[in-house]
Amino acid sequence: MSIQNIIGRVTHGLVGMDLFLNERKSNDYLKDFLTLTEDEIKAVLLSSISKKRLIPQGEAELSEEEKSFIASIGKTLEIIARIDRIESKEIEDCINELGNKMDTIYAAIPEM
Amino acid sequence: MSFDVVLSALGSVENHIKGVSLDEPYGVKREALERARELFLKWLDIYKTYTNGYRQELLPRTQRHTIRMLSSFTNDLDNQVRAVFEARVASEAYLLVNNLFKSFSRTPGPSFILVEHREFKQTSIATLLTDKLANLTVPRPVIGSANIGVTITDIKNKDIVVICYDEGQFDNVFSWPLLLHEAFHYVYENERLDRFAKDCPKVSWLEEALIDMYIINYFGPAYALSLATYLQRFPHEKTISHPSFTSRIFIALQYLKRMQEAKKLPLPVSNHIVDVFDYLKRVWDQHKETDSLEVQEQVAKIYDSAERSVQEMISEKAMPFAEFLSQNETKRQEAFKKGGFEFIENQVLSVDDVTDYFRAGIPAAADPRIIFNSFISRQSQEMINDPKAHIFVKESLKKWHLKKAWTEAKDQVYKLI
Repeated sequence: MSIQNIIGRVTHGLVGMDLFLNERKSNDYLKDFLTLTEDEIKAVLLSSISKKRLIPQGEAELSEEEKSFIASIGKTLEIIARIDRIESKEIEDCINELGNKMDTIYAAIPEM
Repeated sequence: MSFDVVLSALGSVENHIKGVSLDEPYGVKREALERARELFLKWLDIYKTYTNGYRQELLPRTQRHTIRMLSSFTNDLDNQVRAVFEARVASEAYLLVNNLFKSFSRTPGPSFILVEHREFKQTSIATLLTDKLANLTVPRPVIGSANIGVTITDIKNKDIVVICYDEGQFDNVFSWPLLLHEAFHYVYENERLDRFAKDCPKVSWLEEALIDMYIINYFGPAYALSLATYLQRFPHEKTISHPSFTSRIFIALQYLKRMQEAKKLPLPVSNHIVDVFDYLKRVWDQHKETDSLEVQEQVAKIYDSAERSVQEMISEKAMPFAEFLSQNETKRQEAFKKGGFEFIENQVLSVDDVTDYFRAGIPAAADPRIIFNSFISRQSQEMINDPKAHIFVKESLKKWHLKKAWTEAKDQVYKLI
């Protein structure tokens, strides 16, 4: 799996929440986001690090920004799973937080 | 903020793809690049469709994220295009890889391109694209989104093998045998060679270990030398997908040891193989403590379980290296007896001949396996940084290719007459 695909699915999560706020009904973008798993994201980020630095994959570690990105995805997954019962304000906050984390990831990975 | 900036960037990439020069001397490369260009244009159309789809959605809070994502995808595509069309590896590397495909694949061999990357690896254009788009729904407003499915199917049907080389090795012809390892992944999958691995330990890196065995049996000690020289740069690298560096050297050592014991090889290769063994042994001794005994035992088991099947498969398709050398020598002697050795198409060259040609500064139209294994002696190992040796190998491959083309054309004419 590529880093672009992870970024694509996270973006679909953001788009899906935005549309949910407009339409108050679920959509396929949200389903794309729900296919993400923590292990998959970690594997892609670690692979990206080891290729960049030519160090062993086993010794590579996630940066604080990357850990925070994964945590934010985890929190968003929980929100989207019960999105019908969430206040609009909480969804908007979630979009802002995950969007900010995405900006950090774009800045941290030169190939993006 | 508007999606027009993305469409403009995609337009630039499109112009770049359409404007690349395909003025290549070898048909195998020219045709592959033409097909790659066609596939990249289809890939680009898919991104345009996604972009036009997103622009029709009402996204007051997230439009900038969508534009950022599409920009990243566009840049990535542009990088892929540059890596293909601006790859610096000499065109003669295509001749070497094509020769392997012609030997091992059902005719015709696959179309392939050599691509500059951070590492050696094998993939395909369809795989690269579908990897980007996995679990990414086509934007809702796209009318007839099934068309994207049709385009992806079309790309899969016309797919092309992508063999990536380490960008730092672009001018190192002695790393080219490693391209054969990557090319063989395609053969392994298409010929379903995993059927021969039933009795091997079930480790995640089994395919890599077996492919090392196949290539060393086919290409001989020159592959072992390339592998050891390259892997020394990353001695402690361990991943779940590859056996560790020392394990791969251990496989090569096993092969060389058995070659020595079997005494099947003609001179001077039988002498040179000792030099390669010594080189690999020195490298292995320096690093073997980084490997667990368990891994070494697994590698030994794989070697013992698969050795016979590997040799049988190579015999069926292309002749193992030892037999190839013996047969080459027999043909050479026959050609001498028949006379006419001054005509290039009648020549059969040995390792000694190639060494003589190199000293004389004349490219040798020898089989690639002979050319590369002419540089394995201790003396030649010191020469691998000499630009003259690199030019010699490239020019020799070119001459071998022309000789083959000329001989085939002549045979066709004789048949018509």
